[in-house]
Amino acid sequence: MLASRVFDSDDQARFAALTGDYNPIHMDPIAARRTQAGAPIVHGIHTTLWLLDTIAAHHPEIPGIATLDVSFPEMIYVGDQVEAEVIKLSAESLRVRASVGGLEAVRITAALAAAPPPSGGRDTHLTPMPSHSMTPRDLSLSDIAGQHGKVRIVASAMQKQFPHAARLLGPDRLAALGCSSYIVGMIVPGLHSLYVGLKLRVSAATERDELAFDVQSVDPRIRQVILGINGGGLSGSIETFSRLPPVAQPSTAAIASSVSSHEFDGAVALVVGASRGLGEVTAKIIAAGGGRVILTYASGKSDAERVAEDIGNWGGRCDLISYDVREDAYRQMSGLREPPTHYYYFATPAIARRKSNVFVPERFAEFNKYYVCGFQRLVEAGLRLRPGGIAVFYPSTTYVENRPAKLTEYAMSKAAGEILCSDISKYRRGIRILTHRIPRVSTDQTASIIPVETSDALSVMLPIVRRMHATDKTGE
Amino acid sequence: MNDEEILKRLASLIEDLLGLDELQLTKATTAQDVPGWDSLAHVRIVVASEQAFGVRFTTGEIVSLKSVGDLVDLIKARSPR
Repeated sequence: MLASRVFDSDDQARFAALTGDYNPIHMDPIAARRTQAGAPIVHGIHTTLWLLDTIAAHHPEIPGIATLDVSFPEMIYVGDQVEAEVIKLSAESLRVRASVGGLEAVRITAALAAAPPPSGGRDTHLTPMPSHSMTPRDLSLSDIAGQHGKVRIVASAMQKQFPHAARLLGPDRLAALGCSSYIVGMIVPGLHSLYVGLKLRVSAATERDELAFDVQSVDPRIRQVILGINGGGLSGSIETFSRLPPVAQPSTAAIASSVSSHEFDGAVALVVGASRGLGEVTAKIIAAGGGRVILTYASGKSDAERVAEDIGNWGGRCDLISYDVREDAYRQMSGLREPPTHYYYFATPAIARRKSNVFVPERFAEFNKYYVCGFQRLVEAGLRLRPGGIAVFYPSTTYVENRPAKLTEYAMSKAAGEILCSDISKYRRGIRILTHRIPRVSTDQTASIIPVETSDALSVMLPIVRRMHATDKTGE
Repeated sequence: MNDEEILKRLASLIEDLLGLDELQLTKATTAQDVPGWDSLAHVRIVVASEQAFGVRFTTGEIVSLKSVGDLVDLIKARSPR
């Protein structure tokens, strides 16, 4: 191993300021949790430049780089321990990689140049910082085709941050690479972009401090966008994807057309994790049927407020509380106006994460905090608030029976939750628990780059909510 | 082009995309057998094979391929005879 480091949020902010790439997938934990990443990720170009800088510092004998082929097979999360490693180094070529937990996250293959990179004829140190907008463009796939433009390259600040990489590439090219992060993250594809890789050639440095870009192809089937770039002594192509935007659930008004207006009258339902996905839809269903809902959120306050506003605008009744299932449940519910009659439990950590082993104990422990321990705490608090009886919904998963790769810990923890539900029902009085194995539903948790077959949240949750409330009336 | 030839070209294409050395591919190989072949890698591999073999698949075909054998058969079915 050559070097090891962690990228923290200060590093993210510094790199964003250097390049102008303020894409929320890197900067905003709340926005990032609604993307395929689930949490803020390190800029791919940041890791690339760190790798090149590290290599150049350790190997002063490498004169320069002639071509650069970089790909980002895995996302690196803020806080991950990243390891740099040389795979191969000869007089002609270089292969290095950055990995996290044994998984390759950034791979660089470079053809080496016999001589140091040709420099530009101007004083790059004097180039002023451009004024970047901090809001990325939100382009639809059809808007992306044909986009082109030019971006000013800023060399001086980049060179200070990555001095050894600047020697390897020349300051202009170093800055052009940084600039490519800005183009992808902020201009095109912009907001929903995913930078997947680049293939660049070192060309003669130009007099002009500009990097020109144009969209070379858009493949709508898989949302792949290829950009051409040229300038600052680099030319070649960048491979990106335009991710599907966060999944929007139907409005309360739309849901109301499937629900009778007094169906859930008298119910006071606490919906844990109601800021998006299944929880959001459940809250809207109950409100549309005349029930009072208490929405809880752990981190997605603004998302939960958006749901509450939608319910309120429609004329539904709802309250909003902050609730972390990992903490004391009773204390967090002590401010409620009236004790809930019904509970819906959609608390979850990010489900899909890369991993190198079939079973990772930390992942299992993390899921159990939500699917087992947090659920038990909620049930006990609910019974304490309303000893007369509560109904609780526990969402399990069809993956307990049949699961895709990498979801071992997830399915194990949900199976443990099912057992807990079954035993609470058996040994505790005053509680009725409904569990249901839910199929893959279209939510942020299942969001992929390209559309996959999923069920929609309303058609999955409506029959479940009806079962939860219908049995009350029949006295079951 | 026969299965062997297609497999050989596919192997070198996948090695290139995933940064692997000497990948042994058979028609029975699935994504789970190849390190780094996740959903994103999958679409990149399929699209790269389209370019390499001069064929084109539908979105449904891209997502429904279950093994390298499926991909080989689809390439053969689409290639000009």
